[in-house]
Order: sequence, then C-alpha cells, then structure tokens
Amino acid sequence: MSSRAALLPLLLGHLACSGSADVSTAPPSPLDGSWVATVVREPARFDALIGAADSPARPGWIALHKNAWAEATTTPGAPAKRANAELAVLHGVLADLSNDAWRSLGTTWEQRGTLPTDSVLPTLVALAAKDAGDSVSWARWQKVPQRADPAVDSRVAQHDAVRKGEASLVTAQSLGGVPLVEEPIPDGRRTFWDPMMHFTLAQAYGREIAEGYPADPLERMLFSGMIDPADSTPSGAWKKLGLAMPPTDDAEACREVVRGFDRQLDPWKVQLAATAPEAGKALLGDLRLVEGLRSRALVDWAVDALGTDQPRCALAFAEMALDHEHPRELTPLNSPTLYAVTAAANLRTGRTREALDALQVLVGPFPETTGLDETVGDLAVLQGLDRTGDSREQ
Amino acid sequence: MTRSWMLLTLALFALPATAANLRYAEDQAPAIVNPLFGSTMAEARVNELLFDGLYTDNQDLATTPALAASGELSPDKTEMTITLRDDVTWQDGKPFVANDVVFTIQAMQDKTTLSTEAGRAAFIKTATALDEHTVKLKFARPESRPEDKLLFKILPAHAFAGTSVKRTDGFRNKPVGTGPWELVKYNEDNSVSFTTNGSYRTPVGLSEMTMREVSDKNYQAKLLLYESLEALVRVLPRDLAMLQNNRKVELYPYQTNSWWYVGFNATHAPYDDVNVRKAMSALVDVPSLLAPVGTGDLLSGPFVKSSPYYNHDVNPVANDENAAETLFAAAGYTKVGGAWSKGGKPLTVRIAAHQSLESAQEVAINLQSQLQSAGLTVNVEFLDDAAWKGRVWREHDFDLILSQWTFDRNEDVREQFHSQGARNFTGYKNPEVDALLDKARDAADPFVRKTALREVHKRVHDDAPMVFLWTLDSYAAMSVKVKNVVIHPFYFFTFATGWQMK
Repeated sequence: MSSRAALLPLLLGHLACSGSADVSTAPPSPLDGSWVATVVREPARFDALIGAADSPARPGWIALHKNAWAEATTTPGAPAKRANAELAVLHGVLADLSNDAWRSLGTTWEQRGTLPTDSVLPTLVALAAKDAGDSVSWARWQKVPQRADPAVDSRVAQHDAVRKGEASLVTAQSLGGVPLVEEPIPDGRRTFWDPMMHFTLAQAYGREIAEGYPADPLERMLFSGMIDPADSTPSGAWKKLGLAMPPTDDAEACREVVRGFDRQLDPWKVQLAATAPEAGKALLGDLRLVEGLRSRALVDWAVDALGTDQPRCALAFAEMALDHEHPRELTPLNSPTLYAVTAAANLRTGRTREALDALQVLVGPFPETTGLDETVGDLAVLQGLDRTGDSREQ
Repeated sequence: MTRSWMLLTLALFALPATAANLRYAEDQAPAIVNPLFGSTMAEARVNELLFDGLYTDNQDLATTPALAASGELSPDKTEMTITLRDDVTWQDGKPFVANDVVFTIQAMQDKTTLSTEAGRAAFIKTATALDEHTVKLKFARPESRPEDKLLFKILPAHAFAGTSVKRTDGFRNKPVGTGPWELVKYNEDNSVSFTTNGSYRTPVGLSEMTMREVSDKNYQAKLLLYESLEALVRVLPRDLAMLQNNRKVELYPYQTNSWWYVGFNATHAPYDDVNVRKAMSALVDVPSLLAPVGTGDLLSGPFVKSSPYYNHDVNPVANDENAAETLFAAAGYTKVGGAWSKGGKPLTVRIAAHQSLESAQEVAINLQSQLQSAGLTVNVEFLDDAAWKGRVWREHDFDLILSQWTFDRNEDVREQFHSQGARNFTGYKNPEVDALLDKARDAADPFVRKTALREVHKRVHDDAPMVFLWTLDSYAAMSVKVKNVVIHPFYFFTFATGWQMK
C-alpha cells in the first residue's frame, strides 16, 4: 500500500462530513453547493468567518488562500487544522515519490552491475521499500551486501518514535535539512539523505488533525478542491459533476475530463457573477475563487490518479491545474501539492529530470525536501551515465 | 493598415488546414536538413520527423529499438552486434541496410565532414557490416549500455558520394530518411510540407504536417488563436497568460534545460583576459535584461537551477560598476572622458545575435545600452542563419555573442566547455575543466559525476567565458483539436506518430 493510500483513512475520517452546505434553494448545478457559491452569494458569511482586520484567525485564512501552509499552521483555529491536513497530503505524495526514487536508484545501479558493496545504500533502499509496503523488495535489499551504519539505526529509532506518537511533529521536522550519511570514495564522497522523512512527516501532520478538525462546512471547504462537504473522497466531485475517471492511464481521456469540468465551470462562473451581490462579485474576481477551486480540484484528482497508478492522468491533471503565468512559484493557484504530484507523476513516467523542475519549487519553502531533491537528482545522474548528451542552439 | 497587420493577414490565409494537417510554427525554417550538421532545435525537430536512429526513447524515456531489431553486447562490453530490422525502406524506395549504419558512423567521425555530431559517435572505434542486416560495433572502452548512445539519426549511404560530407551537399534540400514523414516541398512562403511515409512501420495519425516560418514570434500566438496554426513549439513567456485562458488551446510544459548567455570570444584580445571578461560581466544588469522577455531564473553557471549539477554555492555575478572598474584597471585599461581605453585605443565591442532568437533584439539593444553607459563603444548586429554558422561557428569572427543553448536531459556541457568540444566556438580552454569533464564522462558512480560537474560549474563561473543569463520555461501550445499529444522533452516530435486531429 502506498503511503498516500495508508494515509487516506486517517484524513477522510476528518474530511468527510454528514452535514450539508447551507444553501437554501435546490441547486441547479452541483457547483452551487460549493464553498465558492457560498462565499460569492453570502459574502457576509465569508466576512464573519475570516473576521475583522485584527482577528487572530484572519492571517491563517489569508495564508491558506495563498497556499502558504507552513504559515497557516502557526495561526489559531481552523486554518491551522486545514493546513496540517494539506501538509499531511503533501508529505504523503512526497513519501511515495521518495520511495519510488530510492527503489529506482537501487535497482538501476544494480542493473548497471556497478552497485557498491561497501555502501549503506542497500540499507536505505530497503527502508524505502518497507515504507512503500513492498515487502518483497524490503527482504531482498536486506540481503544485498552492504555496510552497516549506526547513524541509520539511530535515525530509524527516531522515526519509529514519531510514528508511534512517542515523539512530536517538531521532532519529525528536525530530522531533515542535512545528509544522513556521507561515504568517502576515491573521487569524492557519496551523500545519502533520509529516505523515511516524508512518510514520518505525513503521519505526524495527520496526527495533528486527529482532534478539533473544523465542523462548520464553510470552514472545512473554504479554499479547497471540494464542492460539497459530504464528499467522501477528495475527488468526490467526479460523480456529482457527471464525470468519470478513465479506467486506463490515458492522458488524453483525462484531459477530456478536465475539458468537461471546464464546460460546466465556465458558464457557471458567468452565471454566479451575474447574480452575485457586489461584495460577492468582488471576492469572486479579487480572490480568483473559481480558478482556485478548479486548480485544487484538479490537484486532488491528480493525487487520486497517482494512488490508482495512473501517472499519465496525474500529469495531465497537474499540467492543466498549473497557473502557467507563474510556473515556478507557489501562488493561490499553484499549491505545494501540485508540484509534488507533478514531480511524482514525472518520475513514474520516466521523466526523472523533469521531476527535478517541480521539486526545485519546493526546496526553498520546504527545506526538508532538499534530501528528496538530491536523491531524485542522483537518480537522474545515474540514469544518464551511459548516455551521450545532445545540445542545440535556441 | 500597418505592415505588421498586413503580414498577419497574409499569414492567416496561407496554406489552409486539411483534416489531418498539423501546422506548426518555427521562428526560422531550418537552413539545412541533414542530421550530420544539426545545430538548432528547429533542425532537430525536423530531423525527428524524417529520420530514425538505431534506438530511440519510448514514452517512458527508456531506450527502445527503432531501426535495430536487437543487440547483443559482448561479455567484456567492448563489442556490440546489432541485428537490423529487415522491413525498412528509405523514402526513395531503396532498402535500409547495414552499410547505411556504417556509413553514418564513419561520416560523423570523418574529420573532413566537420559534423556537429562527431562527439556522439566518438565512443565507437570501428563499425563493420557483417551482412545486409547485421552490424558489429567495437568500442573505445567498455560500455555498459551502448544502446543509450545509439540514438543519433541514420543516413542513407547511397545518397552520398563518400563519408566526407559537405554542408552544401544537395541532400540538405532533398533529404531521404526512414522516419514517419517525408519532406514533400519547400513552399514559396518559407513553409515546408511533409506527408506521411507510406511504408512506415507503424500507423501515423497525422497524414500531413506543415512547418511554417513565422519569424515574428509576437504573431505566433495570434495565429494559433485564429486557428491558422495548430501548434507552437515554443511559446513566448509573455503569451502564456493569454493562451492559458483560451479553451481552444492547451499548454504543454516540457523541458527547461536551456539557458541564455553572452559569450566572449576568448580566442583573441582583449577577451582572452579573464579580467576583461569579468569586468564586462559585472557591467551587465541581468534582471533588467530579462524583464522584457518574461520571468525566468537567473543563473550563475552552465546548468539550470533544477539540475543536479547546478552548484548552489555559486551566486550569479552581481551588477557592480566599482568591481568592473577595478578589473578593467587590472587589465591595463583606463577611463578617460567616461570611456574605457588601453594604449589610447577605445574598448569597442561587437555583439552578434542570431536574428531568429526570440526577443534577442530587445535583449541585445538593452545590453548595448548598459555597456555603452559604462564607457564602452558597442555595435550590435543580427545575423541570419548562414552568417551565424559561418562567422560564429566556423570562423569565430565575433567579440560577444548573445545566444541560447538547449540540452537534453543529460545536460552534457562537454561540447561547449571542453577545449576539444565541437560546440566550443568561444574558444574557452582550462585544463582543469577538461580533466573534470573527462572524469564526469568516464564516471561509473553518479556521485563522482555530480561532484565533478558541480566543480565545473564553479570553475567555469570563475573563468567567466560567458555571462550566464537565465533559463526560461518551455511551453508548447496546441489547438485542442490535436489529440493524444505527448511531447518529447528535447526532440519534441518523437511520439508524434500517435498524435491525431479531430
């Protein structure tokens, strides 16, 4: 089971809700039940939720709108819980990516016939396999000749403590940022980073939402990809919108699904603006609410597609979610999970080098992703060792 | 009506689409269609339509046989016997045979050919045809996965008089390949028409393709929106917002391993002096040059920031006029009346840029302004393709060049910075960098290569053979009528046989 899949029950227990949106009239479109409709048609409710300029919750909601999740976790109330949930999903995706990268690093090196026998690498690959739930690889990599390193044993114990709830999120956060092991070699040194980091962080952030997750439908959904608080999965919008995930990993079919979504979203946005009070209309435009809903929904779909082993679909959703005006920065439309899912889908479709483009966006705001970026980079280098590069002008 | 709008109007009515004719835009039509001499991305894209290699990338970017049917590596990894497909014919009807492979390798290696691809066949010591469909390759040293290096395009031996091939050979206008499309004709409006190769081994979804030269990049996006094109291979950053809001168009991000630079001609004075190069680098305000082009990452060396080889400990050169003055003084220059001179001779600079480089005019003019305001005399010239190839590539007749390099996912800068590199036309030479590039090439451990190339980044930065400018995001834009689009991150059209139009 992927770490993302392992995390889902924990998250869904909190994201699912038996309540309904507070919309008094029968909705002609499923989108009428969305948080966007509530905010635009009832701006007073939005104002009440966000609070006045000096409200302690306000910075948290602003941070959540900007997809500045780390910032939102430092604020009180619902935004922090929501941000922790987002971070749990983010690190779940990164954990899957990390596990894929480590196992590929091991097997690719092994297939070249040059796997070092005096390295801690097989130990780290085995640990990644274990976190991925890949018991066959775990067992096999434990038997590959390797060097034991006490730093790894110590780190495993630290991860276990966090995962069992015996150590805090702060402890988990402190484990990243520096290499785990450095091995001298004749022409330099090998630097290995912690393969367990993101799985532990996903669990630690998930535990942060175990209690006190917001009950109010607007608090649960605002600035999310959900269109109904009763959605039982992050991509619950599929059925309500009459859309269906293609059964095979067909990027074109998935692009067509997004086009179908847009065919509903575009006229609905026009209609919403036409009937909204002035304050709601201003929110719709200023905060790019429909675009935000669309982007976040597509990211949710991409995460789901990765979970069902449809990386080409995931990549199609991610590419169509991206705000191409700002392709290398986190914005209200470009969330950290968008880049994580883009990297993961690229890696799974053989585009290791392209995965690095997406990861590079995360390294600044999330220093704990440095190790993953380096590991995927090492894989890209390894995969290119036997190639002659090509270059052209323009 | 302005001339610009007249051009646009003419373009709108040129070469109408047919049901399965994909029309794509290039800034400039390829000057030459011969993979032995490919130097631009536009040429690489056309070559991808017309020619095959022994191996190619599959959609997961793993090496897979193309003209090869199978390959067997000797136990000591110094020889490979390749069995070729026996069902392939050239577009002129002649059968594809082993001698074509041998010819291509020998032509690439023939020093009189002056192939820009010579480096890609350097690992092969000999190539021998064992029979019509079997080739034996002997390597200069053991190769773990030689098929990963056998992606270069194969040419028909019968179309050439010998392995010493000239750029001016008639083949450049009448190419014959084994690829999915064949070149039908060059049209009067500089477009090029292609039609499906009827004998291609797999179905081809697009029966026709048309490469249209649209030299004013500002119009490419408009032509796409007006449905006079179906594809843009590279979108201007400033057009992204307009295109992403149009539901008739979809954007496809692809590779980003390309960077802009201002290169110094280190083969002659005063640019053979590192102090002069560094002084001029310090006079360049890179963010101001980038502003009119769009958003991008500023760089400190010959890799993009997301590269595993980028050395993040090295910062981009700061725009610092005081530092420049110190460096000019160290090089023997004095500033008199606001102008830099040495021995009474003013420092005069010629900047050359390829006329088809997107936004090059704005960048070059702004660069000229920056350097002139600091006391240099600067002339700018925009060269057409023939002049660029002649003066820059062959004769090294330039002071500074403004250009852009694009790399595949291996980001192999050896050809640009090794003293023996085929694309090192700036004349950069540093024995330590040569040794590091050799070490990177020969590495069996990824950490050795990564460490060596990060050091190359630092050394090259310190030597300042170029002012490293920025990398821009690469986007293709396609009409939604084009379905099943999968883009190769470098060669673009590798998977285009699966594209369809509805």
